[in-house]
Amino acid sequence: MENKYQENVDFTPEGFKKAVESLDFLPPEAAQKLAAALAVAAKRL
Amino acid sequence: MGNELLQERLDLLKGAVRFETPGRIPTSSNVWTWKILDSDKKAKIMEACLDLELMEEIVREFHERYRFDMYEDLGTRNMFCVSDPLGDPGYVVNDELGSINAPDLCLMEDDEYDEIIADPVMFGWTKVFPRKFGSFTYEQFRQAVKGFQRFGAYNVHIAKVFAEEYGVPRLKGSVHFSPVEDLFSWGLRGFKYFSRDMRRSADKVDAFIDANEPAMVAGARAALETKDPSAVFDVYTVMLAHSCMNAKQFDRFYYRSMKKLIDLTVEYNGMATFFCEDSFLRFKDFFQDVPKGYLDVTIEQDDLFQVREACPTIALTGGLPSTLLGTGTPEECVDFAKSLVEGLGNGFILGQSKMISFRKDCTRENLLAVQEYALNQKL
Repeated sequence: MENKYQENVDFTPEGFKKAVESLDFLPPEAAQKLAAALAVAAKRL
Repeated sequence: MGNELLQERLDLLKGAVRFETPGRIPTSSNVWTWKILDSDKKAKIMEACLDLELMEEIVREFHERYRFDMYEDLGTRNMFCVSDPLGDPGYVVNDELGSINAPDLCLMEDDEYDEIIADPVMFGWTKVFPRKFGSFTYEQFRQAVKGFQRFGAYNVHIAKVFAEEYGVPRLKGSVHFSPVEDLFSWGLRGFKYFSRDMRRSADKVDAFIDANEPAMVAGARAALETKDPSAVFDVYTVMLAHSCMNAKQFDRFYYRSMKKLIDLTVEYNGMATFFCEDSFLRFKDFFQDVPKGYLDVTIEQDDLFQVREACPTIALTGGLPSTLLGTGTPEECVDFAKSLVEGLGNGFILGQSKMISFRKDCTRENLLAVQEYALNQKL
């Protein structure tokens, strides 16, 4: 089955929304929270 | 058994911070990736950091061999399972040499202070991610988030294993960095540009601290209000950015945050520990009013006897130099440990003077000899 998430991410606010939506294995609120936490933590990775 | 030993170790370690006479020598492990190199599993650094089941086996093996009272690291430092899916582990790892190094980065431009203050999440997404990792796919991002969840679960799991099975307390109940460490240690500006900002854009550095310090203080307050009963210290921080500061800059950009952590710890009758990379002694004058029994500092660079004389109210952790652990004999290591224990007396937790990371930082024979001495010596 084709993976619908093979597209490069768009580093814009719209791209962030799409990145949150791509976390379809999580409830929406948790997806938003984890994506935001990872964005803030990106410098530390 | 685990619960009894856990309480015994908590009493021993907290007693050391209060300068009580211990029944035996309290010990702390400042051993990091060296434990992977020491393990009979013969795993590579990257392999162990990416495979958390393997990492658990390695840290269990390490504890069963050396039996420290507390651990700076239980395989919980390097988040490669988050960064690797994005295409860059974030560290320079050389498995042949057994070395791991962090590059000095600058992920934020001179004129972007206002932008990161206004929206740190969007700044991370639109600026930090592409500058650090280049391009990646949404699938890679999904895998990174899954790695983030896995890493978080491992942190909880391994702390529980150590408390319940081995009676080893958590070293820290909560972690709070000075906002300046984001600029310096975590690469928003890096060593070169942060040093320049303190001189040329001091007002922007102040604004960054003003924006971020309240969250640090609120986090520390919350931790002190609830106090994790299985942790030795309620509050933990790492000091590194002070290494490029003079006393005036330390007062303006760094001490303000450290003082808040100390004052809160005293207010709530808690305990704090500062992991101090580089010199602590250079800034000893700022720590003269710390009441006895609240603060411990892990000393990496300074002579412990000098720090004790300069800051007699602060408990100290550290001791064995990596040069000695790596190249000395077991007798030399034990003699050095004895001189510290006998010379410093109460208010001391025996550990190592550097993050033991590289292959040549230590030998198994030497570390075993020191631990055998520490565990069997009655005081």
